[in-house]
Amino acid sequence: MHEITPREARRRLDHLEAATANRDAERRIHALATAGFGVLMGGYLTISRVVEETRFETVALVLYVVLLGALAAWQTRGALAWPRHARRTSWLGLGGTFVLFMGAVVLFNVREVAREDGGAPGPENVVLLVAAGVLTATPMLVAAVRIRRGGGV
Amino acid sequence: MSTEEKAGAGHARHRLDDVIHAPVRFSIVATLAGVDEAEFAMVRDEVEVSDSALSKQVSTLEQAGYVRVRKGYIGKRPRTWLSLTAHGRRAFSDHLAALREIAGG
Repeated sequence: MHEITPREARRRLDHLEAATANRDAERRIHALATAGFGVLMGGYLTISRVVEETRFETVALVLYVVLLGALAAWQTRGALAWPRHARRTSWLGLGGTFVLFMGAVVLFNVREVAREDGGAPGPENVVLLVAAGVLTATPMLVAAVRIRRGGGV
Repeated sequence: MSTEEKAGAGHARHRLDDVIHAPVRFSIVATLAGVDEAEFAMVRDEVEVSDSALSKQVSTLEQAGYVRVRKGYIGKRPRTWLSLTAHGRRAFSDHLAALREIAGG
């Protein structure tokens, strides 16, 4: 049995508030990294189609992989903790972005084949490419905002 | 809670968790309650204890099933991450409820 006075109990509860204070630095890092991954994936989706079959195709891929690695390293080294629910929120955002990324790749491939079958091969509509890139990045951008504000999923 | 139930549960101090009640372990669990996972070094700095003192207390919490310890690397540097288990979160929540009851007088 523990003998503890109401005053001591209050002191411990006050300590708890300080210990669980909003982890602003960690939230900022994870939010920026999550947004960065989303922008990179959405950006690559668009740019890879624009530079397809040009000499910049490989450059874009290498740059994409290097930036992803650098961002992951920065996030891992910079944050000492995952604030409550931030990891799950980030993974859900990544899941959404990945599904949209793959869906867009399939959609653009189908449209490309249709254009070729129709005897009018050519590049994809740039506005559509940009819209797909923005849409693809959206789940991770939303996740980033939720992480920054301290909301969970 | 009815009067009978309150009488059955006894004074709130009986519901304080033995493992969590110790001041350093309370601070460790309180720090971990606000995160999904934290690096050993961060917890050490926040709780203001030495590496060995933290290791000892974390072992006690781990044996009680309250804390999970994960070891890994960042680059070539070994790192240790700590997190509360679901059982640990429940125990902490019950402990806090007892503390609040006591604090309320």
